[in-house]
Amino acid sequence: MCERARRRTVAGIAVALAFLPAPIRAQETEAELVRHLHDVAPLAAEADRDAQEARAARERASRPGRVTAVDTLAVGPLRILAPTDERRAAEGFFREVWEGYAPFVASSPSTGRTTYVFQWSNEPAEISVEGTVRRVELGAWRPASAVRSGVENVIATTLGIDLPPPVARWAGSSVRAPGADAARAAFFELATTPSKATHACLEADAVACWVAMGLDLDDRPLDDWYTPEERRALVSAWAPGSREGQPLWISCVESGSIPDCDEYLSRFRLYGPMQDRNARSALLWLALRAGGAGAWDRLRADPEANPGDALRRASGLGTEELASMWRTWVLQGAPRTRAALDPHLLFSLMWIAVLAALAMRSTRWRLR
Amino acid sequence: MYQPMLFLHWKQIRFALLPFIFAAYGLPLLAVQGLGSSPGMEGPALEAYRVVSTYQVWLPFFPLLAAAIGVTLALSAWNWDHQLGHVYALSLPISRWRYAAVKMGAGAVLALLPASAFWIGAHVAVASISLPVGLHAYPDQLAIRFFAAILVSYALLSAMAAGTVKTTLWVLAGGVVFVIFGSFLSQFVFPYFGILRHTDVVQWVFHALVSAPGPFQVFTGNWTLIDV
Repeated sequence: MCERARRRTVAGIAVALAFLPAPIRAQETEAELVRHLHDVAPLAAEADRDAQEARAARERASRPGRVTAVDTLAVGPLRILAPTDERRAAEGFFREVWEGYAPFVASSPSTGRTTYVFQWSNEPAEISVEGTVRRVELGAWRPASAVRSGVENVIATTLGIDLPPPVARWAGSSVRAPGADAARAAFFELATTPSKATHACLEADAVACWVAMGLDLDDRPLDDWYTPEERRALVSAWAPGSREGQPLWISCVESGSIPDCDEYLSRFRLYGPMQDRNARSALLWLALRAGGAGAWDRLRADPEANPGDALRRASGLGTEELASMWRTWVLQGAPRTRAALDPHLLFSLMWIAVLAALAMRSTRWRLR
Repeated sequence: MYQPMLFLHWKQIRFALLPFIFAAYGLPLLAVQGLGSSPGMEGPALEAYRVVSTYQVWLPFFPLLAAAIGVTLALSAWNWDHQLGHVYALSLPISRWRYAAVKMGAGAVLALLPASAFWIGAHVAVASISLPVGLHAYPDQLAIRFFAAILVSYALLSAMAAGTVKTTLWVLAGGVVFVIFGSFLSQFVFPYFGILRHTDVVQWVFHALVSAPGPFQVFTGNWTLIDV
């Protein structure tokens, strides 16, 4: 079929060239050449479409693809399509994940528009759906954890569409519970970023955590985030960069001019201490959970509100309470003290003993 | 009995073990190359993320080196016995299990050499750099894990090498057959049985082996020399 399409393309171009009103001359004007192209292009496009259809048809024919009955499920505001024999699995996974959202989300515009297609099978069926579709289609050999993760992803990204733009820019475009390693990563960033805000946050100043995450900043965020020495160290950690920034860099690093350091950072490297989107997304999640019923609607009430105001409105809590909750969550991710005798190393000793016993077990060696 | 066995094993493996000792000493030093700044120098503060992410590149080499050392010790311990058909062992007035125990003990003592080199190298590596605020080094814990990994790998290969070649081949062949057959079952048979539909036997067994309390958890655990 693909070969046929190619032949049609060549034939189409040849026919077009043969029957074009302007004969091909040794030297044509630019306008004539452009006209040729305009005449030939539709034929080429049509041939390209034929080739793509042929390719798609060949792929569909090569797939085992089964014909199956499809059920429509409803879990909360979510509309799910799944093959009949996978209905129970689909309902189970979506219900399990939606339980995390149900306390604060009754419905959302995007969830109402989106259809979710679920398949957990080695022989996926062709399920065509009009409109916005999000698919969770995995091979049957994939573990349940991968399927659950897929369901979480599609729901998180659907809700993320409805986030107010300032909140989405600050926290990222998905709404999900923090993952298993998120607290550890956030603690890592908090513990290792040389910033007075992060140090204060670790020292139990909850409001410093709020500032470290770039919320409720005033006109001079650098003063809130870094000491003068830290600002100079930040600038010196970067190469001078563009020619425009070099004089500022030199003045900051070599002469120690803090105003020039601030100018350089403001123009070229204005990064807050806590950049981890997962850490910010965790704060968003905590705020929504704390707000309970209606929190999602309150978060979305003002599309232009800054993230700090949106989080306070959604949660119904003050800055300090929210920041304290987040700080508690982060501290849970602090690594446990590494003892010389890690309990898991005791398992290694056990296995060494078992294997040594196997090596010593009675068996006969025979002389050849 | 023990000292002659130790001497025999050392005599057999000393030239093969030397490169591993150097590698064990040098690996921590290689891993921290370019990280932090030298103590006493006013250098730019490096971001901790870059420090740890750079170190992450070297993480797989630590368990690999430990496994290689254990394998080398185990195979060298039984090499002569296999070559000579266990004549020496059978001619000794000692029960088999004691003979095997003495051999394993000798190998475990020799494992202290690369483990000690690693411990020294880790301390030298940590002393040679100045870590950013918030990061700490754990050379002692890492050296203990390294030694434990050597011993696990040594014990496993000893258990296989102490038996007959036939037994070893049966064990290895059994593993290969399990992987092939298990994958076949998981992909082509189990999907048609409701309760087993999403069962992946090979993955389940692999996960059991590499996570606690499995025998290979020591290789997949935390090998971080530098962390918060």
